[in-house]
Amino acid sequence: MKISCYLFGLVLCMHHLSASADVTNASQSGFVNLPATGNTNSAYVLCDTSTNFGLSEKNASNSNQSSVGQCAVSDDKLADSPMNAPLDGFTLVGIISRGVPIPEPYAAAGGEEFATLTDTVWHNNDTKECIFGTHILMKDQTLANGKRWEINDITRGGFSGRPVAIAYFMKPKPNKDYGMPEALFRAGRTYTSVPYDKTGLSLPALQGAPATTKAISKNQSAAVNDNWVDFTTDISFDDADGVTRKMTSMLYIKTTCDQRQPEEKDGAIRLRTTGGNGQEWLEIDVPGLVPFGATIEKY
Amino acid sequence: MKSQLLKLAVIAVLGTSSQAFATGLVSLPAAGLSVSAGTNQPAGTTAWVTCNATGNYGAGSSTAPTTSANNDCAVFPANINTSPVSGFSRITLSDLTSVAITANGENIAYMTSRTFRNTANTECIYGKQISMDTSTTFDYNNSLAGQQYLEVNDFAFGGFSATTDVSAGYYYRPGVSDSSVYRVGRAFTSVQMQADPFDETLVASGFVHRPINGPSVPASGTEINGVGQTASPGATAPTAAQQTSEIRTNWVDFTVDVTGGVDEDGGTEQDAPMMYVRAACTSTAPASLANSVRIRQTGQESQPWVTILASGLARSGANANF
Repeated sequence: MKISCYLFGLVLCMHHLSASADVTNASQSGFVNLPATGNTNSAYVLCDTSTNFGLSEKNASNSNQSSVGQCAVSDDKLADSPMNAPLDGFTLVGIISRGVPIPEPYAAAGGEEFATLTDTVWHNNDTKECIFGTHILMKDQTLANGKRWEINDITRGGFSGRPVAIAYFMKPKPNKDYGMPEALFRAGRTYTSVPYDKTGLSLPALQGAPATTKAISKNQSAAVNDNWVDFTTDISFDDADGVTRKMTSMLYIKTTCDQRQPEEKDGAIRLRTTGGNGQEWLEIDVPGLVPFGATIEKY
Repeated sequence: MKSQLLKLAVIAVLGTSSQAFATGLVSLPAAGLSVSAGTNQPAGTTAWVTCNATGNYGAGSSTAPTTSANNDCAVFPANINTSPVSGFSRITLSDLTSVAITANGENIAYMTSRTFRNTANTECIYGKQISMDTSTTFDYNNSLAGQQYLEVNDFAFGGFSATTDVSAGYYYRPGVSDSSVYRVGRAFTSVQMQADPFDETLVASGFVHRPINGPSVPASGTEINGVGQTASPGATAPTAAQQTSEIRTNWVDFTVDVTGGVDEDGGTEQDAPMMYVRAACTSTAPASLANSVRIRQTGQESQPWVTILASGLARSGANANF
């Protein structure tokens, strides 16, 4: 019942997307709108669910792009280089790639780099739109408790009052050093990450949701928060569930930006462990690029 | 033209076996240095020192440093494993060789580190050499013909706030494809430099050789100060404020011109030289410090601003604050 309501919302969403596709390029769609009010029953949309949220190996891990599900962008230019824009008409504005240290006491010593986070921005001068790209590569580091750091959700702020569409690009071939990227399982217009539910309810409900300022939900629900976008994935240098993906796909947020240059804000990106394999919840704040003039709340 | 100059330089280096004429590391005092007004130069206090003055910051043809010429900031050790200053020994346990630096899951560059310490365990020389990945498919402008490689104009290294007066310099390795260091500064913020579109040997109007410490400096965390990405060099003259760079005692910035392939100015130096910072340290081994290495493309031509942050070896207990 809930899923069918969601699908109905998605049809509307896809209809809107195709209407605007005249401006961009219909053949490169894959971008899915995340309305500021959420969809009918969820702040989230489902993307690739074929791996059961990273808990099982994909049936065809190096399959062709047609099988990776919705939200996926397929483009030869992206296969050449992830620095290329996922849509025509966009040019690279800038890249900032940074190490993510884990503070004590979660790390034995502060200052060590546990992951590399890359922020990329492309701009379309005709449509006054920006695409914010997010990519994370995990490094060979171990937490103070002896476990590996796992990131289940990446949450980015700065989109209040703006239209948002999301997509991802998953390299079809493994990187010789870092292997295959992980797919995007779902994305939401919300600040709230939702731990994977082994009973199979994969689309968090609006009903019964905690406050819009809650980082990680204790039940399978999340409220809409239009300043934030949550990407659900599953990466670790050595995953406890046995399926290791060291890096994310390229994760995209398309929005409006009157000014070409973005701004950097502290805490604009949150990296969260929601405990798919019994880990303790953890949130790491990282600076990130936001549309010029956007604000980031500290809850 | 450029390769001929390089060959001459290599011969000159090989022909001189002694280090006696090395110019040596230059002092970068926390208080800055005084600079007089001149062409493309306002008067004031500056964090910056000019090193190799040939080649217009890589936009033109640079002449490699030798023991007799173009050697400000240059040192001439036998190889990267040899200390550039006598009285220092290599901390071999801290050697790091060709460690990959990534962005978007792609290898961008590889960093080699060598660290030397004096016998009293009070001073260290932190050496870092970075080579660009030459097989990368990185292309910052798909609409231009060919591949536009990442062009690094500045490397900045952090973790030196505990030292009042650091010194810095570089070793231009003969026989490889090293860039010279054009200037070095006790600064966090890199400053964009562009060449005159009509004469590659001249700096474009408004750009400054040794950025001064005011009167209006960018916010402390600003990676790059300048006019931003431009369609053609020299098309937009920077304001005075767009060419300043504050003295930041925790950082040392090396201005170079390094590209994994042919860049827009035609240069092809794919390697940075070995870059040194001499600063206080202790008997504790150097530690890996996240985000203490900044690799920046500042837009010498039409490049977008790119900053790649990486971990680097620094004094134990140092930080990478601005």
